[in-house]
Amino acid sequence: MSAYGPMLDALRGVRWPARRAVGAAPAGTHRSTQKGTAGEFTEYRLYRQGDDPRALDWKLLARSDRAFVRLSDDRALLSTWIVVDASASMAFPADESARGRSKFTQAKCLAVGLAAVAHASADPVGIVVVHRDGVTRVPPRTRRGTVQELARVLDGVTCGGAAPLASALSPLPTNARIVLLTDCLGDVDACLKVAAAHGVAGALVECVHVVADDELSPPVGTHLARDPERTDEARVLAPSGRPGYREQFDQFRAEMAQRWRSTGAGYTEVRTSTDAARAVRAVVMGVAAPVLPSARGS
Amino acid sequence: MLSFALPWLFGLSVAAAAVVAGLHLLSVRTPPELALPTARFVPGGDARAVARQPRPNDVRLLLVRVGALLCAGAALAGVQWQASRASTVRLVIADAATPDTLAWRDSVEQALRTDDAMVRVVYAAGVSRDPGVALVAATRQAAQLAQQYRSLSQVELTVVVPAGATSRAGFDAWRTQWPGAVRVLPRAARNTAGSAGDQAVPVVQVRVARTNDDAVAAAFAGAPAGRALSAMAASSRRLVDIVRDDDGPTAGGASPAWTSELTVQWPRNGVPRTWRALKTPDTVGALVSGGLVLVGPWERRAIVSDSLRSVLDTSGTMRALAWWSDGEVAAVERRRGNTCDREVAVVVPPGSDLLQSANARGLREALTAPCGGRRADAIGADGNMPTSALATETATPDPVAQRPASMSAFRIQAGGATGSDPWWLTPVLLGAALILLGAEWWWRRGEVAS
Repeated sequence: MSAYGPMLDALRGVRWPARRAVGAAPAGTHRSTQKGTAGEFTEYRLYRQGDDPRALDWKLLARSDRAFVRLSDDRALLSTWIVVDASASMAFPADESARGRSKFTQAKCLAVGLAAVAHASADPVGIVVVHRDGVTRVPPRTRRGTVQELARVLDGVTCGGAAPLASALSPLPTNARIVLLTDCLGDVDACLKVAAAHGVAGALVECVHVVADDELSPPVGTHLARDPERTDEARVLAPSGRPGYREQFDQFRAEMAQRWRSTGAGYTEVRTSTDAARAVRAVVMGVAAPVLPSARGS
Repeated sequence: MLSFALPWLFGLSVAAAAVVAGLHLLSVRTPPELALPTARFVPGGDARAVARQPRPNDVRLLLVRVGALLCAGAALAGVQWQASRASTVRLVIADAATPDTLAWRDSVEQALRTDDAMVRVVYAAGVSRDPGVALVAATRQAAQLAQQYRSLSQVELTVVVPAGATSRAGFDAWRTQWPGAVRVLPRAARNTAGSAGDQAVPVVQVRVARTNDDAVAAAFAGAPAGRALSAMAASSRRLVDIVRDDDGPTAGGASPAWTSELTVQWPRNGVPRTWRALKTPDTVGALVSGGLVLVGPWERRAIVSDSLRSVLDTSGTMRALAWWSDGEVAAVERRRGNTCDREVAVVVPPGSDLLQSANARGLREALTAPCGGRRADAIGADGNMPTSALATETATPDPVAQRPASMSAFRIQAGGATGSDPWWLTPVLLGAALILLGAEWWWRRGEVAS
């Protein structure tokens, strides 16, 4: 946890309200679609047979001789599932000491930060990590030490393989908030379909697109670029081809933002050089623009 | 110490090796690999790209290729291994016609140096008249030495010339043929003061069966005829009898009024009886005699025989009168007491006017000169020519002019002397080159497979 300590300190006091009213759930902090008798008054309604007599506004009955019931918005919990992509492409750049943190390291920081923010709102937080050895799942919990447990699980994962994310997304409940931390270089089309279905069913889907700085500006010189998830395909990245590469990559990122938002999901682009606490705040606030590194650096 | 019979060929292999090394610096190869998850956005293209590197790539492969090239080049260039560093021969040419040959000893010893490892002293007839004869003899001797001693790489030429040399025209004509510096040492002139015969008017008689189309007869038609000068005093005339018939002089052909002291055998077929006929006649571009060069489409049908050549080189009774442009003798003189016979192996086509040109005057006067030669060879020269002029000319401070002649030029003239020394160096080097090429193929196949 020492690696995440400064970030968690920076996120203290941050709350993560749901973008819309949540469904029926145990009492919590998020606005619910259910109407109840909580202390915060919302409106009156004529008494109907079967209503709880304790909800009658007796003073209003005495003044108007008509029976009204006091109504208020209900508050509910919102389970948060954090799905982390641990495929081989997330381990880029491999040499973190020389070329900055990798996409997976940034994803781990974001996952721990988001879990801490959700846990601070008393929301149950769970995690799903898709890696080369399969899927590691920790169900949502609210007890103390949940964030530390999630951090330990993430730290024990090694990137590799190209396991599909969509199969891990599908079984997740629809009355929850699903945060997907990925580089969108895997089965992104299948993920978009699952996210659209979950969104229609009531889930709150957030996509955090992690982009490495070296992907935006590859090392200078001529290299034989090889996708770690497609080792049979290699292309020469020459200085003359860098503008074309950057143009296609920018087009891909813009397309990702448009497609994720069209499914009703939130989309935030985070770069590896961005401070993790700042990136978590951007995700929580639902910042549409890419989260760029601050001028003073991370 | 290594040397090459064909240095330019080894230089060619060195240049090829340099090109190969350059290609290893500028080779088209697969660039270094980079793991990039977004490689799918790289525009498609060839997976090979030019990658210039400050250091040559595949150093072991480069060494194998360079080694193969150098071995093959050395084998084909005729590499020669010389155990000793002394590979220069000093060639001293002195006149052989001098009666007191021992008198030349001091001059020859003066020409030698204490550090000379190999010396060859050659006495050639005619040097006292024109040092050009020495150059011809030196060329022939150098070719023999180049064939005989494969380790020789250079030859330094020293010509001992008497002060009484009458002509340098031949020397000037042949000087360009010697590929190096020539050291000229003066020698006290022998007593060759003009005799009474030098002052005599030559009377030329050409005996030929058909005189109407003979070019030699036409060339000497302007000279005084025997009958025209019959009234001249006997002391002031010399009869030169030129025999053109192939079967030799006829007894009844000569004029009975006087006897000839000089007979010139000039057969129409160009093959004197004592000469060796060539099976296949060749062509020569120029004929040198009397200090003049006669350029024309000459056909050579005979050369001097070996026995005649040895006599020509060592004896004072024979001397050469004319040479072909490659140094071969074209005409000789054989002394017989007070008279002499001259043999000419020059084919003159019927009706040709080659012998009537201005440059043919050297040949005509050389053939009609008194026996033993006279100053008639000194075309354009007045009196004796000081050897200091030759010595001054050749002793220029230009270091290039002082360089010895390379033996490789004479080996090429000798023909076929381009093998290695010792002989097994060529097959060994070629085998090494083949082995290296096989290793290169095997190595490269392994890299491609990997």
